[in-house]
Amino acid sequence: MNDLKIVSTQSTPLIETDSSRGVIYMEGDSYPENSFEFYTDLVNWVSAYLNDSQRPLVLELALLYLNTSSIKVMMDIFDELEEAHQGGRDITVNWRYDVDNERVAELAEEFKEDCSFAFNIIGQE
Amino acid sequence: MRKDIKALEQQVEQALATPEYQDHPLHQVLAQLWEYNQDHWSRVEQLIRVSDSYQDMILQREKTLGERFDKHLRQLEKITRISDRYQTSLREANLELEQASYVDALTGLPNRRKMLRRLKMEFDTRPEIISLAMIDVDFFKRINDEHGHLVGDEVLIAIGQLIDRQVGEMGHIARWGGEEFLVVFAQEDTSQVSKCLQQLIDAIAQETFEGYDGRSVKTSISIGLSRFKSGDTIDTLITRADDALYRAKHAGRNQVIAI
Repeated sequence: MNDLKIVSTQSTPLIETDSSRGVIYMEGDSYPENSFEFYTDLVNWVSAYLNDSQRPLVLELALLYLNTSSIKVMMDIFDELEEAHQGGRDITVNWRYDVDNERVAELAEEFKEDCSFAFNIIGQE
Repeated sequence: MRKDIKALEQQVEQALATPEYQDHPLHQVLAQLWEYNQDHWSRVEQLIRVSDSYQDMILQREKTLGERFDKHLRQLEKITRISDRYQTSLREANLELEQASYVDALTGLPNRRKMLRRLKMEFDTRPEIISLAMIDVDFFKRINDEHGHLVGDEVLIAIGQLIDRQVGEMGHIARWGGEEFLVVFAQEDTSQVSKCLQQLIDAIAQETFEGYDGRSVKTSISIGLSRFKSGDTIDTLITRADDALYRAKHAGRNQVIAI
């Protein structure tokens, strides 16, 4: 399947997927003008990956600021991952944040609350 | 009831199957009625099946909609919480920036911006009791040249604190620029203001400032004082204080001159 390689801008995060290793990387701020449009490729990629195989999926995140519509998109993705996990899929999220920015940890906690898969919030110096 | 109908149906079927009754004039009527009855029943059963499947569909739909509603509600609550937190931190950051924009970074005193606001406020309430003191450190360039900028900065900070203490509740101080401080007094008794400023000049002249290098620095200040006159604006008051300061400098420094 086609992998994504979206470079970051001031208002959009870097997004990279690696279907052979089953990893998604996301890093940066997210406040695009149209989040639903911006995230279409990623949402489709996740659905296709989950449909095509039974292999594990790892999300490596270093997201900072998310606007409301980006939060909604991420919630939908996490809901889909949760459903896959309920169906026996191995899912892991590693959300790294700068320890000086506790707000990011609080944000990640909100997402973690609804997920029963491994959701690690990792503070870094 | 249902049982009786079963028994009746059996009776009818038996009667229709009995060979002796075949030629009876009512046999054909009964047979037609029976057929009509059977038709009717099968139609009712079909209706019940359709109705049941409709009910199933609606129940299923309700369940799906309910789940979707719950999901959206959960997401909405979460988004609201996150958004509220963002708004709180944004508000706090704004307040912090606003505070910072009114403070002089070196001396920690109110800055020129803050002073202009203060002046406007005083001017809007009781302009007739306003006195403005423009204070300048004498030969400040010499301190910088002889001791370096770090000591110069230390002297500025110390003088700022000294003025602030001396003026106390009588007025409000701000760092106006380089080595200039501006004090606004809202005092009916102008002799109190003059007294305060003379004490300030004496205090600075007596003070010995210790630099970080251990060397001591002596200095003095000159003050230009303007008092509200009818027709004054904030600008004319400031300009007059500036002019008075200029005169104090030319008259030999270390003194107050009022215009």
